[in-house]
Amino acid sequence: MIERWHEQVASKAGADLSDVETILKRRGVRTRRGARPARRLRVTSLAFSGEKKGHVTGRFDFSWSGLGDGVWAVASDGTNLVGKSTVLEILLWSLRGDVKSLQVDVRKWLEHVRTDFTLDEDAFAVDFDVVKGVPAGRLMRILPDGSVDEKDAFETHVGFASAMSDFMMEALDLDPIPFQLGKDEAAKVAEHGWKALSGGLYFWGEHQRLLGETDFGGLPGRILQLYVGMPWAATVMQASAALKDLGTEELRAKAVQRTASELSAKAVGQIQGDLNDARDRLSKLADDTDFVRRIDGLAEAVVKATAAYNEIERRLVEAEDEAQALRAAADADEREARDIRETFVASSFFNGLQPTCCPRCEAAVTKDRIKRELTDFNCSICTEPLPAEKMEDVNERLAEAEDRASATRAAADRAAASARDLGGLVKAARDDMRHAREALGAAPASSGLRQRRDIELEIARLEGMLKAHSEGAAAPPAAPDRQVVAAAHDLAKTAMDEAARELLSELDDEVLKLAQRFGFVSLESVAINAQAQMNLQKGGASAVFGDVTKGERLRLRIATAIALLRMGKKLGVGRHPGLLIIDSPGADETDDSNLEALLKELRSIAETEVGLQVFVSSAKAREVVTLLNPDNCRVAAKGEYLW
Amino acid sequence: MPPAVETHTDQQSAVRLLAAICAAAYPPADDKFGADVVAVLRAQSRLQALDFWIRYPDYLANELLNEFEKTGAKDDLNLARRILNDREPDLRRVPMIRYHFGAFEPLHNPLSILRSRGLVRQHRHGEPGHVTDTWYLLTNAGQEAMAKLADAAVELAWYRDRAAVAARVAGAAGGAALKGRQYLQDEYAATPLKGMIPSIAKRVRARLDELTEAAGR
Repeated sequence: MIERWHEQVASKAGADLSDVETILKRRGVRTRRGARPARRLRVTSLAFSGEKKGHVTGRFDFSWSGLGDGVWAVASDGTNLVGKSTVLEILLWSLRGDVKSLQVDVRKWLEHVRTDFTLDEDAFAVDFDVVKGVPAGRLMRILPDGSVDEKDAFETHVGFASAMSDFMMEALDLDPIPFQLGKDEAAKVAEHGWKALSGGLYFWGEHQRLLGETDFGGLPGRILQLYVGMPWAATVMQASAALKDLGTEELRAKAVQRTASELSAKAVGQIQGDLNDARDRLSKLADDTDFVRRIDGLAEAVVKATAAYNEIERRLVEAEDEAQALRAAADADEREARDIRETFVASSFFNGLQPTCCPRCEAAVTKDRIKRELTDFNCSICTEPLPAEKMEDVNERLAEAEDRASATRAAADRAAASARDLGGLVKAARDDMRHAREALGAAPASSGLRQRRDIELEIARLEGMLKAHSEGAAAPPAAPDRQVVAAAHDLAKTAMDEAARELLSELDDEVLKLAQRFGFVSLESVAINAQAQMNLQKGGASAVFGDVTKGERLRLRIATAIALLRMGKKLGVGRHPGLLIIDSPGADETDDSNLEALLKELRSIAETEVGLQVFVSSAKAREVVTLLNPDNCRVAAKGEYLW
Repeated sequence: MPPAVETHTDQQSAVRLLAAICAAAYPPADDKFGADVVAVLRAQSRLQALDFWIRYPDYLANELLNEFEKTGAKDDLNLARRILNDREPDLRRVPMIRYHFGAFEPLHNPLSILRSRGLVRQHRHGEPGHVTDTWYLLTNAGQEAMAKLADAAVELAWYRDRAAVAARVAGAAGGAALKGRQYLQDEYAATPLKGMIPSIAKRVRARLDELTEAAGR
């Protein structure tokens, strides 16, 4: 059956069967246990002792034994404040481990308490001393041979409550009722334990709720479901609580995620700021980049200007060489022309002079030789033939030389002019080069390049961080447990609701009959819902539980408790242990017939219809003793204390 | 640049030497060289030195600047400037070869022209084959010839004028002393043996400008 249910959950949640088992176990969601009869809780004896102090003094030693099924009463004759409620309070304290409303002074008087009780056939006892109101003692099992098996021990209120809760929850096979404490992501799942569930056993005070003492955590409905043995109720409760727990976890995860996102957003903002800052700095450095470009430009300009200068200087040198060569040629030509002219004039002059002697031997030139020179054109000194240079030849040579000199002079002048021009250009080129070098030299040395590279690296790093943040901002995956738990919850809820319709309908019938028997004769119908809220018809009018009188509410409560007991018995699934503690059922009522009906019917039910132990207190000792078995009653004599 | 064709002729050299002898020779003390001898130039080295200054106008201009520095005569400064401005060092230079004892060029051919015409006679001292010195005797005909040549062409008159300047700056100094002065010029001194004596025109121009500027202040 369990396997089948797990399969259903797995199918519904779209999860693996093994995962379903793991998840449900982890989340504390259990399937309905196999049906088994509820255990019967019966008080067999109650004893307490101590010493009264203050207005009334003296030792007291109360003992009430031989208790079992049936209606048991502590009663007084028309007076209160004789200790009736104290008996029930101490009984309840013993069973709950948690003091309910025992008067503080009585608690201080108490020195020792012992309560014996049975669970089905097993005998147990709670035995504790009370020192200054604080219990210290033990819970034990009484074995058939009379020996004692200590189950638990306690020295404080909390320890006592814990010991009794642990014991009773397990003994009565009750599931704790989970509920959510706190809200949203701060919520925690707590459990209603024995203290709360015991609210189905006692009937005190104003009877404001059908079951239990508080609405907190939907407790009345839970008590109803538990005690009636509502199929799947525990599972629904557990799954519901697990869902709430999951919701809380998710809220918490979301909160964590939100915080992380906020932190991330903050970090992103910071990074973005840093990035903007770095980019800003880089953009300012861009000027330096221009500067670097300009440096390159300047260096290039220097190279160009230098090359231009070198080229033009080379041309100048060439031009100057050429001009110089041409000038030398022109000078040579001019010299030659002059040489020709001078030589012609000088030759003409010297030749016009009669040689007088040989320049070598200084022998005088003879007249014969002079004559022959004139006739034969032989030198009058050496008799060699005189050169027949004609005037025209000289003129031709001279003209030629002078033309050449004029041409070369013009060429030389042109070359000189060209060289001068180039000299000007060289000066301009040299100035250009100097300016370019000065501009380059004037450019301040800059560490801008390194700085720029550093900033570019920083920007790359920040961009990487930004990218990482944007990738990391993805929402966390939904808890995988949720679908499984939700499926378990839905399946269990469906099953429970289906069963509840029948069970609650049957419960309504039982409660109606019992309440009428207990004296609520005007009651025409009741309808209890799963939250243990009751609507009713009374005297032809619709009403809710809170609308009716206190006595009527008490009857409805007792009727409900007994109905739960009867149904549990009938279906074999109920959890009510069959013990009811009712404080002053007739206290506020003027019509004694109502108390009579209640007690009479309770006795009838307890003794004949279903196993039941009921403790009541009453100030109407006469009626109580009349209606109940006198042996079952402890009555305080008029003017006396019960203990 | 094609090598300068040396077109200077013996006739030109004859005119130049005649001008130098005319300018630097002194009248003889007596008639022992003949009645037609009007002046005597002693020593070939002196003639060579004078000839050098005519042939290298830049060196002559430098001597003029020396004179200017000594005497402050502006005419010398102006003449030096004119020599340089007229580019005489380029156009009038007749290069000489440096020998052991300075600028020297065999003078036989031009002197033969002068001697054969009876313009200049030489008076040698010492033995044949071991001539210790040569004097140059200027005849009356030689003196007249120089005047006629100068009249015949301005270009030839230039020789007369430069010879006069050279003779003036040479003063009474002997040939060795004159060579010594010429040696003072670094370029001259640095010229390798049998090397062409170089121009010092650039340096002289710079010196002229300096002196002109100094004189102008």
